[in-house]
Amino acid sequence: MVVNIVVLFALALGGGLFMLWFFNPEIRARIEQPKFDFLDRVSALETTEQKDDAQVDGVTHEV
Amino acid sequence: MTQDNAQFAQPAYYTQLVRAHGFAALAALLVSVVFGILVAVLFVHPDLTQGSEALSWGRLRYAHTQGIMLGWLGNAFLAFLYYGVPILTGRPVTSARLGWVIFGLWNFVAVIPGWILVLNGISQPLEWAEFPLVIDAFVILALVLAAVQFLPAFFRQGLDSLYVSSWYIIGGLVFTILAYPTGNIVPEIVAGATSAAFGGLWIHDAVGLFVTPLALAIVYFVIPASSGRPIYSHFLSMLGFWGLFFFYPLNGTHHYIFSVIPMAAQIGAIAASALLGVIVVVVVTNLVLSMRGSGVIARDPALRFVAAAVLFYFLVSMQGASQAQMSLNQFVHFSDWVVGHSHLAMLGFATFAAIGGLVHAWQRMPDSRYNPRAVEWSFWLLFGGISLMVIDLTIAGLVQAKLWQQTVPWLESVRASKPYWMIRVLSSIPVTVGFIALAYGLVSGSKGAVVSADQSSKTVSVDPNPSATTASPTLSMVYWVTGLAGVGFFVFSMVLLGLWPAKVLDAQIAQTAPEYVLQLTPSERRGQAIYAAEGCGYCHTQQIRYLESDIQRFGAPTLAWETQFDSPHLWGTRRIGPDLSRAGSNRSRDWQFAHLYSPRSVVPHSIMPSYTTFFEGSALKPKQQAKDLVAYIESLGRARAMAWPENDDNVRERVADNKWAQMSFDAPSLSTHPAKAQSIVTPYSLAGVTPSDNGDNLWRDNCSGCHGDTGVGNGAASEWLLPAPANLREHEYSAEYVAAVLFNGIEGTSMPAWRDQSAEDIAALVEKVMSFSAVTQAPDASAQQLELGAQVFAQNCAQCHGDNGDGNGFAVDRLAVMPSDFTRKRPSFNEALRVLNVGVAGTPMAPWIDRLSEQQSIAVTHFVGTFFAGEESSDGR
Repeated sequence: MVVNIVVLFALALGGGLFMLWFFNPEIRARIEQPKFDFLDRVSALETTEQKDDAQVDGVTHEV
Repeated sequence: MTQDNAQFAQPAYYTQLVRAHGFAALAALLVSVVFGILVAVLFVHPDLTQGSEALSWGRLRYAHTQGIMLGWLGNAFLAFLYYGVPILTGRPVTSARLGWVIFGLWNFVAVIPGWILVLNGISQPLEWAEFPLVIDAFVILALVLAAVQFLPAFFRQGLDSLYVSSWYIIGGLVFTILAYPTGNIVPEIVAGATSAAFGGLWIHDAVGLFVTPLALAIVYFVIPASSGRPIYSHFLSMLGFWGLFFFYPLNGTHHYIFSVIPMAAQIGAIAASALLGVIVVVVVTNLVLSMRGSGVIARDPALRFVAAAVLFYFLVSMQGASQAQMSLNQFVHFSDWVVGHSHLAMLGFATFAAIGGLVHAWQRMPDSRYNPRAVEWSFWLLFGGISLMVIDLTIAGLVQAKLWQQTVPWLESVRASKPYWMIRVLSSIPVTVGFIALAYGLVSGSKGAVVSADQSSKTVSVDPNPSATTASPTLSMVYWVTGLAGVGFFVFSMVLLGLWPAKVLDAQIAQTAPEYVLQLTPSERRGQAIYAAEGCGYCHTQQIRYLESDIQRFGAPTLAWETQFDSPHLWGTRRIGPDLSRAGSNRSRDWQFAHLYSPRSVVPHSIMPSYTTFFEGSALKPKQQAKDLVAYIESLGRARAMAWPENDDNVRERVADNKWAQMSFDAPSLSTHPAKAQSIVTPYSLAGVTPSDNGDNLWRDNCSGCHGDTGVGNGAASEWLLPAPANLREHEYSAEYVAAVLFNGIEGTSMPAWRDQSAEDIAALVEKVMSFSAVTQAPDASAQQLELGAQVFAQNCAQCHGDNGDGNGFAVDRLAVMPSDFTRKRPSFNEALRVLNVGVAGTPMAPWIDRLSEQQSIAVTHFVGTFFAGEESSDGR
């Protein structure tokens, strides 16, 4: 009984997410988008000239 | 580039906080490794820290695991969060000042005081939760503040825009706050099996909800950041993320398979463990595909550490999913296999991920020193050392498991493990040097960011679908629903594996417990606290599992009511020594004191620590601590023994549908401890048995501690035992008598039984014992002397020793120690006269020097010698 609940819930959730991903290209693209955004941020950070100080939260911090 | 990315035109991470937590992590790591090395060395040199309570094995073990989890990994994760969260979100964390508050709380209010407290005996005997409650409160406060510090930045970004590392950070912080109290506080409030059920949840949640999410957050961060390519599939990464958070909390009870915890909960945990294995395959596949093109051995040390972490993650997860299955679990559980598994998780996967994160951040912080050569060395030393350690412990576990399935003495598993424990010590050398190299690599070398703009600019990835960056309400809603489902699954795990078992166990206790269960006395309760503080439960379990191998070796499986007053539970998860559920009546009190004071004097191959600080310089002078601890040990199993077998018979029908409870009732014996002396002596025939050639080794390993190397009764422990061990040179025995004594022990004395020895080895020991005898011909006795001796014997000795000298007088039932059977045991004339004059301390045999004349004493001594029938006696007593 308990095992059935666990397994069925897992299959339903995984299957539902897969269907959403498979049948909806926009969702598919949106789901994948964060990995590109993240890489952009990292790349932007690393291509920026390093500065001695940065303003964070209104306070100057050593970087 | 999105607006967020445009805002991120300058670095925004918190260098000082990254560095502070990073250095604190490295310091805690080195301290924890020292604790760990001492723990490992004590396996091969058990007396190394003798005399120091603070450095006793159990306390060091507590300090080691908590130091690794909170001191090392906790600080390393926090360091990375200060580096990674601003990059992941494009936003600052809540407050730098709050950062320093968290830093102070974590290190100076939790970790360091936690170490001081556990080393001073203030702790809780719960796996991965050893710091005491007062420290737990501050850890929870620090975790809540960490959530306040890091989470707002993510929520301001919008759920549908979150990268998978962000999800893992959110999940790690939120679920750790939820799970931490269940393993650190709840087991202190509830008792027995329920306490174990909640403790088991945390054992897995500590790894699954705290360590794994934050380690994977680093892995998902470093791989694309270092390789310059996006991860293979964000969809698969999210599938893995939700899978992990759904199934990890449901794993906890797999630490107590075949226990009294309801089988439905156990099977649920086993199924979740298998499903988790499937999820990990998805996660690792995605990660491996994400590293495509980086080479088998990545050039960037940070990526290399992370790649190794992925490898370790795969191995430890497959191992975990497998060993949760009943067929393998019943074999390897409690063995070093599991210790190897823990090290693979915490020292392999989590530590390599954490190092990868630190190195990645260090490479990019302009004011940080970075020495790539030292870090390179660190990688190979750690990879080799940890691999050796885990392989070694895994093999050791298999060896132990195999021996436990056989009927060989428990000590054989200890002896067989010693070479592996030595290799573990050796493996700590490259590990320690590797960590030192890492620390050196992060404080030496040139200053300034290592990753140049030119290099990294070549790796910039272009957003392939700018239009898709607009917010997606549908996806946000899906994530919200899934997030709520995740919390729901956590609550489900608490209900399924904690609250529901508690209800079932309460009902079972009500149905099966005797009407009155004797509770612990104040002294026993103090002893229980000492047992807990000294970490005795990390070598000795107090749970006999519902398995034939356990029943055969230890006795009837533990029923729920037997530990109903233990709060927190002391079930244990490892058996270096044997299970102690029924230890109460197995050994004499003298033996227990001698064993505590000098374990190897009574068990030469034991690796138990010496607790000399519990004594005033001798096992004969126990302090209150020793008296309390021995009182507690003597209480173990007492409640069921007092009610047995009547209570089992009375309650059997009430739980007729519970096949596991029936299994406990049906066990042939409540305690099958092979050393427990039997009050009803069973004859032991060696007819047709060919003695093995192990006699000398068996004597050295099992007997010499008390009887001495030459059998004269002067072994290391002899002075602490009453009655003193027999002087075998001064006695003649019949072979069947020695065999019976070896098989049954001698009740009321420290002479244990050796029922775990094979018949061939018993026969060899019989030969060895008889070979010591140097009894010479007694002086001739006149007929008058023998007549007088017979009169004296009839008047003064026959009440106990029997009319025929067979030790079966009418007063025998009232005696704590059986009188000597002179028909099968003959002391030399001088020995008999000595005993007659001075008595035998620790037995009812009193000195007769003031009550008999010299003439009478000599006469009765002659007469006693006439009973001996040698090998002719075979009545089997």
